Amino acid sequence: MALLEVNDLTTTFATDRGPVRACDGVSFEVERGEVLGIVGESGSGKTIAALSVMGLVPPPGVIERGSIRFDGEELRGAPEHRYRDLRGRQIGMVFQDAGRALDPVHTVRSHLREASGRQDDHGALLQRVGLDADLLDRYPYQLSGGQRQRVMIAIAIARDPALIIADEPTTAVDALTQVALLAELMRLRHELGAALILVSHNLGLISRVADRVAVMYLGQILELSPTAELVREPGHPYSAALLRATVPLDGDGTRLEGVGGNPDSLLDPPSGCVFSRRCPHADDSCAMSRPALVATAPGRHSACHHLDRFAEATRGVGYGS
Amino acid sequence: MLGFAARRLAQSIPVLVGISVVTWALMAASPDDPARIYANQQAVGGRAEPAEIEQARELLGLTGSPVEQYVRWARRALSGDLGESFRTGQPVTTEIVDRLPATLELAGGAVLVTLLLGLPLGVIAAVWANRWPDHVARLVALIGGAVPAFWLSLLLIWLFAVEWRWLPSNGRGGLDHLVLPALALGAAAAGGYVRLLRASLLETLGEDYVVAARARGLRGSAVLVRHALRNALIPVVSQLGVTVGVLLSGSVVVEVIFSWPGIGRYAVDSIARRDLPALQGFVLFSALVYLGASLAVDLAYRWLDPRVGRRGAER
Repeated sequence: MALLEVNDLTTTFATDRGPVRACDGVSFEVERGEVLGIVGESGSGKTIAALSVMGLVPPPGVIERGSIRFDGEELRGAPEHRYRDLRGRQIGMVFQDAGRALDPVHTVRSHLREASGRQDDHGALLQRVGLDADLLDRYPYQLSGGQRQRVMIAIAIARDPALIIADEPTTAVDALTQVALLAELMRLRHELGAALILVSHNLGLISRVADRVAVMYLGQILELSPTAELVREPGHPYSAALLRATVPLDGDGTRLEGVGGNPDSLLDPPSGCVFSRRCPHADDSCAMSRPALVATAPGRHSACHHLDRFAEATRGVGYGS
Repeated sequence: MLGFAARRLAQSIPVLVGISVVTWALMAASPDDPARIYANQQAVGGRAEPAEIEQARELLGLTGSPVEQYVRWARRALSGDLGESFRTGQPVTTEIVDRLPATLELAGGAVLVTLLLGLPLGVIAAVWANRWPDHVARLVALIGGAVPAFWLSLLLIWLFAVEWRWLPSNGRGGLDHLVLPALALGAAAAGGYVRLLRASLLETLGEDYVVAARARGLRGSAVLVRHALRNALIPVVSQLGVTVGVLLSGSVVVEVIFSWPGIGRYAVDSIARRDLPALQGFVLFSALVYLGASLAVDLAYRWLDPRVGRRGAER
């Protein structure tokens, strides 16, 4: 049994212009100790997927369909006090912008006291994330961006959770700090033996650390594959496009390409395949029906009507070839 | 904290000087010659001789250049001497200080009523936003804000003092005397606080740090009080400074209706009798109250929001 099993998760927001499906039939699993990357552009629903698991979908959003099982227990519809026992204890969350996710009127110590439930020993917690214990009595505004993000990580790991959800944990800091933070997060995750869901728009970053990657677009998972295989041979036209738009690690001066077309809006999703309007391989049939996410190879899943045609056209696009 | 208070206090010195100039100018700019008013009030038959008026001018310190007059007045004011009331001949300072406890009591009661009504209703309105508790709270706030204090005062007197005979209708005495005027004053101010706190709390409830607090397993009430409310109170406190200032110096109508022996009624009486030194005393007192209230707000601000007035590593 996987640690987290998300099945057909559909989270909807009522708006003035009708309901918006931020997550539309999202299914994935996270094994114990595994690192799952969720990658997608802004508005792809990756943050809402993470918040749905935490039971923290902001109003007016509601989980319309699907199931979220943590450690075998169904969370959807679980009472608030059950969620409260999970949050922080079983599932720790690192937020995107610690400058906004830390309360400006509380000290670091006060945050850690809440997170750990302990009255002392907060200095040791800070040291675990590579910070000096004398930062305890600082306010968030007195810390650098990297320090704030480390405090966020300290909060997330304070009670040794089995799962850490990190939503764009390094986006708000500079590139060098990003690398250090990611390394820190991976080291701590390893120490704790915790699973990690790493949410990011940056496929390059995710591909360095994730065991598997879920590629999201307009609220749907288009591909879910082991990282090495996805990078070597993307299993979906959108994955391939993202990959071409990603700075490779062994940068050889290859020209980067955009995904092409403009990002679609959740308010006006394409009929059929959500990527059909931007896909170079799309034909009329793509706009007719939505392709299901199906297994294409052991451990690999893709939602595309024309996988064979696409595979022919993109042979050799990945980094590894 | 002490250093901050001292700095803030020093900053108010120029304001104090400005206040004193305006207060003094009240006498100089009076359309009636203050010396004539004073002399007439003292004279038998109410009509003073020119010589008596000149005598009065000397007595009131209204001779010499304006600068000389101001310096003379300011020097005396600094030592607490604001002259004598035209009406009673008593030192104005003493008269104001004598009435201060009554006004403090009324203002304190009114602030209490404002907070006891305004804060819970504001929290209810925000937590149940756009649902029926919110609608009820906002309706109450609207009515409270729309009803003039004098009308509410009369209504309260009619109901509680005349019809039901539960509470006294006028004068100052025990707690029972305080209830009606404090209600009348406080209820009017509470409406604004409901709206202010509702808006402020709705904003903080949507902040990332509130979601993050929930994400670390805090119970809803702790998230509300320690994070959302704590931050939402910052603008409320600054408004409270203004309210306290208004209540201390401007509860004129309610003091008159309830025959409350406070400073507001003193001001009204002074206006009616053209008692210029007493009015000067009232204006100066009001200004000082505002100054003190804004100083208290700034100190409270700093306690509520650590970012205020401190140098940080980075912002």
